[in-house]
Amino acid sequence: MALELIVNVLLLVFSVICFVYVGATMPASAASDLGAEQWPQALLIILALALCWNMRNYFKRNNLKDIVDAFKQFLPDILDFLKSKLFIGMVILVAMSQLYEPVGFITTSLLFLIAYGLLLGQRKPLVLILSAVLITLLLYIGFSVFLGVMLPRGNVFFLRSIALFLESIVQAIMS
Amino acid sequence: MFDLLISGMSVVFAPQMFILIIFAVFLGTIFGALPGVSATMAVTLGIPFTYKMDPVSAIAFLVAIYCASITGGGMTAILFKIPGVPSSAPTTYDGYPMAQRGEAGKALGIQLVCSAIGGMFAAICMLLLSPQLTQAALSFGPAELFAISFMGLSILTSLEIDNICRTLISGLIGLLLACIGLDPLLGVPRMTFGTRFLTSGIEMIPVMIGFFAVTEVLKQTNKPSKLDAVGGQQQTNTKMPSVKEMLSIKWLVLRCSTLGTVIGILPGAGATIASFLCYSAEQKLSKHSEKFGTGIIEGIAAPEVGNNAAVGGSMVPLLSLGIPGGNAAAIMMSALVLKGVTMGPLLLINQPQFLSATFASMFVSNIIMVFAAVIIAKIFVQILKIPYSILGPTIIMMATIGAYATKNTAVDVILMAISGLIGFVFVTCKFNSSAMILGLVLGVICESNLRRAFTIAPGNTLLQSAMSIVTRPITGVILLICAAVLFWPVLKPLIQKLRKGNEAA
Repeated sequence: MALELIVNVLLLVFSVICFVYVGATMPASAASDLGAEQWPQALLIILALALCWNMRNYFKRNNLKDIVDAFKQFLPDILDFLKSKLFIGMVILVAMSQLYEPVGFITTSLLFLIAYGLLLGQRKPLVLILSAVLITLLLYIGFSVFLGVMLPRGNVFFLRSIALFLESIVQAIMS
Repeated sequence: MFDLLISGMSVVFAPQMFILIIFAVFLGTIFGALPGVSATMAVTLGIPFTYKMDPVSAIAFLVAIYCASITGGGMTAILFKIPGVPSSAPTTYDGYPMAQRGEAGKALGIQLVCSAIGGMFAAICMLLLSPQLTQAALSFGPAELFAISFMGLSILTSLEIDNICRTLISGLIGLLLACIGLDPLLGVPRMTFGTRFLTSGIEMIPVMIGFFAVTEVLKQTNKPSKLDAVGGQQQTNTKMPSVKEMLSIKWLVLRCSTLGTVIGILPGAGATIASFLCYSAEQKLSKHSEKFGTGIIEGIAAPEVGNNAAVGGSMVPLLSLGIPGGNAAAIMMSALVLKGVTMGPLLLINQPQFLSATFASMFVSNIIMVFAAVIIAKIFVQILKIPYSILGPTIIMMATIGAYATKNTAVDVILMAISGLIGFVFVTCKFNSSAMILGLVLGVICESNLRRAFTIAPGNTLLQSAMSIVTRPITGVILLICAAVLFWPVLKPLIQKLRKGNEAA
């Protein structure tokens, strides 16, 4: 409940900042032309009004006591969230997106599939490892070999060498 | 006309070509089903196969891939909530809930049959009305095109009747995200805050994949119970829709086929606008509009008929005038130009076999597609039986490949991950992800056409220019319809309240 109000307020502040920023950075437009700044500014005005209306609805829907209680509970909720599976999942996801190019597809895919599978409750190590290897292989063959989609090999020297070695094995089998 | 038809069929039914078309249909369906491999990319990937073909066979082959890829996109939209192509985004609204209920077979059956009917309807229209419709489309200026794309946006207030304000906010956020990057007319960086990676704008595919696929996996991660399968805990039913169910949507199919074909013919407006518009129009016309979004067959049929009909429509300006209606059509055009074909109005006069072969290929590939896609769909349905601890991470990994493949840059993977996280906050705060995507998809088309309309409109002030735009007959009528569609969900409860007040008095 508290998060909704916080998001609304943040969006409102961001809308105001964007309105000023876009007006200041765009070149002046002709009197009869719709300038580069006018379309986003018009959208921002409507957005700000809609956000204000949404906040009005928020206060109408919830009584003040509940809102105060929600804000008191907000910090403990955040601490609970930091311990949750969801937060760990988010961290794994962000880490994967950061590592995808430098580490390369094969290593990232193997690590991600094992880590996320473990998080989702797969406790059999053999199933976890075998499925990760099989899926990585299928994805690699499907996208890279058959479709010619570029998959990153990684920038780290030894990981790149491993990726090239594995790719050469797959390509040798395929041919 | 009969000779033309015979010549087209003779091209397609030549043994070697027929096998190639079957191959193209399988290839296109799989390409379309894979997230991140767009219809344009599917056609591009098909070009190397055409190097040894003559130009007429080449266009027939590429058209088959194009049609099948649009259909394939709907399969992952239904099963994994990942729209394989942007035009499949509205299919997720009802397709995914239906698959979640264990009716994946029925959802896919509806999607395939409706796609095929839409495609065949557009193929016939293309053959019969090609020159006339092209002339009509050419008379449409930026003002009319703005009005048509705005019509797609008018669905915003009816996406979630009980949550209009938040849905509107979501749509506006999408429209604003579409403003980021180089200005479509002036070419100056806008709302980039000085960052380099925002200069090229917010890429649609990674955001869409993030909002739909990644958010869904995160939602499942958050569930406290032990997860076994994404298709709910029920058994996945592979039963196809009955003839009675198909007949119940015959008028919807006819309406959406017509609308989709007309939208496809308009340059710049493509399958994506057609699918959103058909969904919105059918929701308005439906007697049970509140059921849209909960997993009903009408919600799957409308966008799928619309986007496939638009594919046929988009071939009209390409063949008649050499104007590609969209990106995939532009790729096809370049493939023909590579073969020394001169595109333009003289093409159909001197070589009418191009039109007949395209028609025959579209017609035949839409029929083959139903059988090919049923086989592929049955395999895809089995995927739902895989434990979620394996399927969930695989979906994210496929999404990652899809996001990376867009431009081969890690920025898009990060964008996908961020979109997934924002999508989760969106869901938590009861905002509407579909509305956000709608705004993002239609934002650029809407803005660029509106601004072009203002540039060419007579008038010394903004108000005078605006008046001359809205007083154009077609634009005015379409905008009036838009206003009615946009404000009706807001006004309806007020009118009902007033009526009740009067009755009580």
